[in-house]
Amino acid sequence: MMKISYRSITLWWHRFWKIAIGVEIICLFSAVIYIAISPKIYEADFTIRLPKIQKLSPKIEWTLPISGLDFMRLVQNPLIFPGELIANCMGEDTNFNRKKFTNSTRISLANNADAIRFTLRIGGKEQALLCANLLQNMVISDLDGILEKAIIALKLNTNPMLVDSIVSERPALLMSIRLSDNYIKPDPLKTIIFAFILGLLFTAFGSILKEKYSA
Amino acid sequence: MLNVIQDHLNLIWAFIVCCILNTAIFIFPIPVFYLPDLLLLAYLIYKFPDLNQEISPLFFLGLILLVGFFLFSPEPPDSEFTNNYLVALKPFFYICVLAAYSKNIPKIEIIRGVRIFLVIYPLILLWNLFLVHLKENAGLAQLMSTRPFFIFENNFEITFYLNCFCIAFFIYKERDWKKFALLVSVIILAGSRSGLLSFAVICIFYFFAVSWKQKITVAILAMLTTFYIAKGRNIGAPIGTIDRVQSLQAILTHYNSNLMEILSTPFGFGIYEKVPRYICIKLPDFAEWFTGNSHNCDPLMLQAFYTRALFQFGIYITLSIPFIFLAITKKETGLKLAVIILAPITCVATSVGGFSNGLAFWGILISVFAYLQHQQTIALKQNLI
Repeated sequence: MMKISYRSITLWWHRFWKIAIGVEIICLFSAVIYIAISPKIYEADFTIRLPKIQKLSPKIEWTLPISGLDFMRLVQNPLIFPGELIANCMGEDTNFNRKKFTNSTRISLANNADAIRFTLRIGGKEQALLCANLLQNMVISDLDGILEKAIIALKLNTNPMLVDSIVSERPALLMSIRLSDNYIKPDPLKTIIFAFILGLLFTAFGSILKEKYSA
Repeated sequence: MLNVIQDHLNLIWAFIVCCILNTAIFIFPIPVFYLPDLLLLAYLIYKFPDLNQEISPLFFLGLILLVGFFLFSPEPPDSEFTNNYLVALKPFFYICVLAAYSKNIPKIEIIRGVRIFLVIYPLILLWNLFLVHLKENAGLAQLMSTRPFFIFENNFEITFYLNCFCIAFFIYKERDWKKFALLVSVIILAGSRSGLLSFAVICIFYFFAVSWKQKITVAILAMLTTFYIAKGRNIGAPIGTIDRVQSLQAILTHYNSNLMEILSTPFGFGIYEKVPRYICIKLPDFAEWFTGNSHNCDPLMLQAFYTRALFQFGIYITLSIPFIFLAITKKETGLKLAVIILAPITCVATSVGGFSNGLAFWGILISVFAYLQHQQTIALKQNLI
């Protein structure tokens, strides 16, 4: 339990207001410098519809050769990306960069869970656009491969008379690449608030140390 | 006659003022959504010079959750509409307020205001129905299906009213059947299902606190109320057709209805996250109703606090919020009373904002204040003796 009162707060302020203002100025100034020099992260967004295949028995119905959730999990593996993609996006094909790239990619289900939305956050406007293009091509080619494999498997299990009537739909781009209007990171408001809170914590910590070790 | 009017002058004045307020809100759609929070902020500022109490470590937990979710929730995609994320942060703010201001009681005697409110609220609801009758020339059947209100949606007002009832009945022990009859009339007039749930829980506590004669009366009145609301709000309908159940089911399908999937998202999807589009379209028109745009799937459209919190905060934080409130309230009032005080907000959170609603939080706060005022009065009387 900690006692708090208006009197203790005002007393604390009277004793440490110089430290408080000084620390806040340093923190806020650091935040402004951070906002100015940190790499500007842009966001690229695109949505791809998953491939579909028409099953003929026991009844005619459209199915997904791979569910959105399963494909999302597949793409979250850092080792799945081609070396060329990582090298172009992150500068060098290292394990660290592969993990960094995976973490900067947000994948979510869209439409009726039959489409996947990719949101990439990469430093630099051109770099984000280039990366999104490379990722989009990789995803479409992977989904094509999955569809082909599923068609072969289906043909093996289907009446030979009906094989020619198997219908499928290739993966398609539902929403082409869109780039954010402005950089989305660092967020100036949040950085300033974070710096202000840090300033308060440092001041509290500093005042406790001063109380303890002064005299 | 004159003596009766003289005795109830405060009551009459309060009723007239409330009727004028209700009429103004009925005629002009004044935005009142953040009104309780503005009043709370005004109270915090006004009472800051009187701040002098031991604060629970839960204050810091509330603060960490508030700052943490605000600063570290994943940012939404740039192409999406922003959320009303301030509402999502409110429970953590209320935890901090309750922990830091629980002993900072007002100078005015709360029970006097509570007694007045208990009497005039059902009358205001009747007044509101009268306004509906005037405006729409509504007949009895239409009025019975209308949900009257004072300032806000009546789900929130009932939570507050139940807290006022708890203050009078459980804290000040004013155990007359008239207050219970007023409560029954409010539940019947409001026609709220979550209100009925809160009422049922309060009835259990009430049942154990009164004599056998009153027990029978309570049981009959409670059954009649349940029957009336059940018929009016079609409670017998299949559970899957209730909108709050539908939105919970939709969120659970996002987790594949798998507990391990829910547990694997310990801090939810954050306060800025929108409800995924494929879930949003399972709840037709909801987003449009809430935000005016069917593509703006703000988690607020899920309505029930627990459903929204499960998605935004994750299961651990969602379940811990009522317990944090309970722990702080218990410190002031004791466990039994804390459970009674928190029963209405905990029940109503299955249907509406609950712990993120300002008026419902005011209900908890004034209950704690009223308890402390009552204890002070008892201590003062004992000292005088």
